[in-house]
Amino acid sequence: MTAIEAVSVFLPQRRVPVESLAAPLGLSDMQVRLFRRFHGLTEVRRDPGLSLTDLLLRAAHGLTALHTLRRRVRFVVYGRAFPVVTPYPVNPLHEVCRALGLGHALAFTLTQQSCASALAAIDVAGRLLASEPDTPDGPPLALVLTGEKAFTRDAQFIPETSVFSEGASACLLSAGGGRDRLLAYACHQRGEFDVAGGESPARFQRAYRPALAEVIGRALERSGTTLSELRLVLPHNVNLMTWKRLCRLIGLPLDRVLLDNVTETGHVFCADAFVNYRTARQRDLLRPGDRYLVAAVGAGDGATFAAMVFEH
Amino acid sequence: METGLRLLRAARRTFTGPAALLGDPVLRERAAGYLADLTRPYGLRVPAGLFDAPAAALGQSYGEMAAELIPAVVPPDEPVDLLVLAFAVHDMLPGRATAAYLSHVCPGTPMSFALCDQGSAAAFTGLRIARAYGCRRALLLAVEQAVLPYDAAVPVPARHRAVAMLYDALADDGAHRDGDSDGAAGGPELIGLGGGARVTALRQHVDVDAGDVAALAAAEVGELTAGRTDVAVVLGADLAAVWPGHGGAAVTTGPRRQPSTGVWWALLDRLAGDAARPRPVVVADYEPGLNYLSVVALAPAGRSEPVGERRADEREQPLVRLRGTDGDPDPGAG
Repeated sequence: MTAIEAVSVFLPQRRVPVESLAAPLGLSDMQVRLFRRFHGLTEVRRDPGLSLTDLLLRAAHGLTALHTLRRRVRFVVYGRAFPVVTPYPVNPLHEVCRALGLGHALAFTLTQQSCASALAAIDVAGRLLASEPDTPDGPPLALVLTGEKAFTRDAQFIPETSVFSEGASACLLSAGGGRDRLLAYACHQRGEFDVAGGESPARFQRAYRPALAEVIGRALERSGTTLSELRLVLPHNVNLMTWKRLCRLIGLPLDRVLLDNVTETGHVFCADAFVNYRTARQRDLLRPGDRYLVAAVGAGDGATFAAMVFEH
Repeated sequence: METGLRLLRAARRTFTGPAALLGDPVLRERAAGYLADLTRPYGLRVPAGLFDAPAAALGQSYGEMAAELIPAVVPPDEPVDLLVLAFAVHDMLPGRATAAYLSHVCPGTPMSFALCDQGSAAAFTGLRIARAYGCRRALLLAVEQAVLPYDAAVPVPARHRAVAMLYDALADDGAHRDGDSDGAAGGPELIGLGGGARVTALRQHVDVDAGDVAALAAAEVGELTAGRTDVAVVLGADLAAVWPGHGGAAVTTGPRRQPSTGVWWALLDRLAGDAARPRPVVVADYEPGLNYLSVVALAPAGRSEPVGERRADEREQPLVRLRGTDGDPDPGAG
């Protein structure tokens, strides 16, 4: 069973108030107030001096065990929201692998599920590990990376919905560890919301929370967990209002959702799950045996709703 | 090692017309802005006025290319569980979650994602993931297009091409509907595969230096063919360029400058050419920029082991031979 061995997160120190985004993005005062007062999004992390490779490397360097375990790493899976982030053939993923001494691992990017790509990357990495033989140094491991730059308008904000922070994460996975075991994964894609799909943005807004509720319910069912048994929900940091309304829809107490990072980091693309996991661990919010749910929504052109249930 | 997968149906197409979505002025403007922002940090520049050009000159959208092939290989009553889109060179709508859209237009609304940043190895990785999923049906789509709107300093693909391969679990003995003729004029070419081809081995080697790949590839092919003389070998163009030859195997080589589709295009040529008398095939490709060697072996479905005899026409030929891809509509572009 896929399990998390270690997680590291890197967020740039530089904080940017949402008001500072108004001029470069052409946002009105009303739009900025919507972000701050209605959605609870006050600032994001951005550092023009750090490249994508810098972000990924800093996250990976935070995995203190990686250096001693690196010979066991067989797969490096980069879960990325934006399908294309560098001109061809620039390849930050392989630059990072070389810098980390992971040239012996099979490395690839998994994308086109927008910000839900990280959960698919965990699922794929776990499945590949399950059929991988032991290495001479021990059971095989996978490194799941996330990390993105706010390099273009679509990567800076989602109109009336969210603002993006730059950041990255690195997560070591095993096929049989005991710390945070993946019990279930559910994913539902709604390609009709693609530019060629013909559906309206208004319909997407109406479908959003019911679709997320559906995959959460499915992940709970598959894991044999009830909503009341969840110790914690690690959300995507899209905004506060979405989660307040979702909690009302599914009957989940809002204090069960770790929303602290929404205000101060905003939406860190695919890294939200790991940013929130780190906070949960730092605050000692998870006890052995606790079950928690990770949720993600990829809402670019097309939409992907995903949820995972873990046991700590 | 058997993978539990069978290549059930396949189609391919060279695209020559414009991408319809790139005729949309709103999407053009979005793409132009995205590509300008993408290239700026790297000192590259999208030429001013590029997006004023006719859509046909702007390259392709993988969504449209792949969507055209899906109906050719997936009937409505054969739902797919997993869809993997593999590419190396990005398309001209680079911000789009194309795989999510393809899930919408594919029977079964499968779990879908794209694999990239791995060059020609991505489709092999997709097949490996399909094996790991253990699903009823998996659709593997390899795509590439020939336009990059900046000076990439590397060759771009020679043509806009896509290959769709539907794999199923060996236990599923559903109806076979393979065609053995081309689709409508200008449409996807459906490749007749008879009873399909079992995937009998799937291997990927990492960190393989260019100086070592020929020997390693020859050793792999040698092991997988076990010295048989009736096994066909299909090589990607980069690997064929250094291929030392392997006794007993007839070698088909993929077209040059088609890194994502070339070896699969050539595989379909080989399978179609052998349709009357199917035989085992070993497929191998090397990604020189990233040092991946990928190998997959297939055997005619329904046989317990890779067996076969050399056909009469083959007995007249050397054991090792190179041939270009059959049916290439534009062989000069290689």
